[in-house]
Amino acid sequence: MLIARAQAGEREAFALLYRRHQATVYRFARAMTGCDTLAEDVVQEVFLALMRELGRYDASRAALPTYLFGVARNISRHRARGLHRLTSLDAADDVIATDDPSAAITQSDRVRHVRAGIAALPARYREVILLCDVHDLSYIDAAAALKVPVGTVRSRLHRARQQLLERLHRRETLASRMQVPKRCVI
Amino acid sequence: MSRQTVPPDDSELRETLRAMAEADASLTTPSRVEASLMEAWDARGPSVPSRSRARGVTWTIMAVAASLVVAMVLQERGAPRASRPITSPDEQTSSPSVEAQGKSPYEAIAWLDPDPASLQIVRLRVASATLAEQGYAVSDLDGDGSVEIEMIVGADGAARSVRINPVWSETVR
Repeated sequence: MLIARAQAGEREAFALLYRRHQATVYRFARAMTGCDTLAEDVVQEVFLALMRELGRYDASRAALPTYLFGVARNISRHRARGLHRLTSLDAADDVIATDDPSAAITQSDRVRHVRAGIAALPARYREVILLCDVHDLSYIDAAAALKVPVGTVRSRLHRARQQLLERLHRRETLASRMQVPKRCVI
Repeated sequence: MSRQTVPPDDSELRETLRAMAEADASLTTPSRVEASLMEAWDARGPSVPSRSRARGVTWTIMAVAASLVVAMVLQERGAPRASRPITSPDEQTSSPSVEAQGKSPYEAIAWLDPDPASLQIVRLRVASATLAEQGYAVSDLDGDGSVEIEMIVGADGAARSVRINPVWSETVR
């Protein structure tokens, strides 16, 4: 087991652990902070914390991804507080694999709006929707990562989806009102 | 050209979130992050005491302490009263050289505090560079060049132990 080997001081085992989990942690941190550079810092902090706590890490209490999400969540919130604002991810490139170009455009627009909507959610809702709906964590694992009861995860997730939908509806309504009527010149 | 998108419902929202996850699937950290992490790994030394090993050390210390206490009690009971010099508490907890002089049969156990209640936890910020000099590879979370640490300080003002303020503490709030 990689963890045991890393705990025994094997350098390559720790490197493998990093390569296996860094992308997941990075994606979560990026969505939490809304900033690529901050997300990189968060990944580094998370694995530095793992390095420090390796001796105390107990796999029977939480799976490693759950543990890493928990640490990443704390550091992301800490760093985002320091930043005092969230950077928009609207500029991010969304690559959707589909055969239908028009569906891809609509989907891409929607992804962009959802991403912006998630970034605008309060942190307690943002983290739960990211863990459960984007990273597919079970309610139990999400509860372990967030150190809250499972019931809290359920209620926050419900509220997060509700808020996100409300924001998306508001956005769509506003966008349709803002549309200027087209003129046809013959 | 203007594209009109219909507000999504709950199932569409989940589908969009899945699409978002797929779109992000290729995102990864740059190699410099791994390089700096492995540098930190190399700087911290070759091995880390595992949980079971640390527990073993704790049990060994406790066993040695218990044997010392038992030995002292047995020695006290076995020794004739007349040959046992009366000493003050200060002398009893002083260095082993006192025993060599025949003043006390007791041996001080240096690592035990006489009164654990006198210990205090002191939280302070120190420069991360100072910790780095001591061999602790810690990067400051605030980015201000300092990190939060906790020290256990005895009644005599001497530090008994120190630790970096754990990031997990935030979850308690």
